Amino acid sequence: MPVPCARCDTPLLRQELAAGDTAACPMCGASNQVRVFPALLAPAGVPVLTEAALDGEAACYDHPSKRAVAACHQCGRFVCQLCSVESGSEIWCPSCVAAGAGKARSANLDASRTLYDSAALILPLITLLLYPFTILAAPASLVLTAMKWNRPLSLVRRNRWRFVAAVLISLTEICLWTLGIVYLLSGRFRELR
Amino acid sequence: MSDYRKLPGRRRGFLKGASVWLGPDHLLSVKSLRFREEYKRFHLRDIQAIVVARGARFLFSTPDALIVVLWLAVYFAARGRAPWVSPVLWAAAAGLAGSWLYVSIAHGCTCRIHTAVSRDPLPSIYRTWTAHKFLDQVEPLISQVQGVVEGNWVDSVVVPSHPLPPLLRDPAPTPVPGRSHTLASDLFVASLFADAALNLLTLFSTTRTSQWVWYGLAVAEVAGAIFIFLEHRRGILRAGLQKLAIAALITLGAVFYLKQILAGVAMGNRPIMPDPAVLAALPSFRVLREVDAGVCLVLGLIGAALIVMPRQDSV
Repeated sequence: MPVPCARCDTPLLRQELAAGDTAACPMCGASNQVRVFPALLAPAGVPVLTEAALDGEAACYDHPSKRAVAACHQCGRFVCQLCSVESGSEIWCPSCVAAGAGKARSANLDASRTLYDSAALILPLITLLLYPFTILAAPASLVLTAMKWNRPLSLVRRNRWRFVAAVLISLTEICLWTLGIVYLLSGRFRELR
Repeated sequence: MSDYRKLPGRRRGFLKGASVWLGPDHLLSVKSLRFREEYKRFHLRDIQAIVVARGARFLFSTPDALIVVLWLAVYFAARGRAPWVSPVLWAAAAGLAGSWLYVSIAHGCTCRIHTAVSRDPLPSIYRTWTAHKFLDQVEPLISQVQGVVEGNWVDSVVVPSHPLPPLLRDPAPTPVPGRSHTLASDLFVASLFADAALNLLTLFSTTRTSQWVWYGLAVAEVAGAIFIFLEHRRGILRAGLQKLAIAALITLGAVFYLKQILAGVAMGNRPIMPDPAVLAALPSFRVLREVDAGVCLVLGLIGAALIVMPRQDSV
């Protein structure tokens, strides 16, 4: 497998790679710093070895003719080499991976997450640009926080300070609106009297 | 407590962000898009190579924007207090812009991580010093899992010894779907130019009529932006104009808000509509309109460039 330039994807030349750590791209001229690891030298496309199960040996749940190599960490079904899915330090069967295994759904399998805490925080803040909209955005942020408080957060940051800040800012905005409305109404009442 | 440890490099854009984290046995590349994070894992045992290419990268991040806002705040506060303030501030602005250009040109880089089945960019690593720190931390971890390459590895892999002819290389990237402009986007860009022109022409003589025209243009900009969002969502329009519309709406909101504050300060507590002529005489109001006109002009020019540009998404 050739090593391409990180900028233009043109394969880097043998003589450039052999010369040292950096290789100039023949197309765009960019200087590429290349770090290579043994996985590059491993033969590509090694097939997964699944051995046939002999009499008396445990067999894969989905492939009864194949020897089981592990049990699913979630449901306990036996899995062959082909069916075993690594999830962190655990082995799962394809069915549990597909189903998410209910509550046991692993964070390691998530490919994306929605950041409700960021949405709840930005809502009352961004509407300050056009402040009349805060009368709608502040309660909306409170509702969003209440509904999504227990939903999983980002994989890499695990605290809920954004939700807390959203609640504080929204409550402040609602208090200010209430005070403003009460002030205006009391002024009208004084005028009427 | 998170299972992940942050690795050097973070990209903080207005809409997009990126970072790389170290997990128990893998690297986690995180790409954030507004309120959504997308994850991609690279197991340490699968990483074949990391390539860092030097080259100019012009990225305007949120810390850069914060510096611009701080400069504007200082400019508004200090303008006119002493004759030397304005030249000093403009010199500082030129210095900051020059530094940003120098760093972008001389210390920009692109980093890609290679596995047997993928060649993914790491957007969070776009400065050479970050790339060095990242490699210093990641290389020993991968070597711990895989070992190190010994001898002349170049002979063990298929590497061309001369540039490949164009036909043998990967095909050209497929063009980005969507049109470069629609009637709504044309009107939106035209309203930006009109806004800039109106601000510049009525800088010293604002009337109620010109103010109502400005309100009309603001409504046109908001309506144009909404149509652009809808057309982009339906796949009719490309992403660049949508980002331009977001930037224009933020500018519009900020200017509207600042105008209200300045009008409030000028008129005190009197609950009447401020006289435009009085407002126009305020130095701070004039500066705000200068900045508004400049920003609208720049956004209009970017919009015009996006409209006439061939089918490539660059913003």
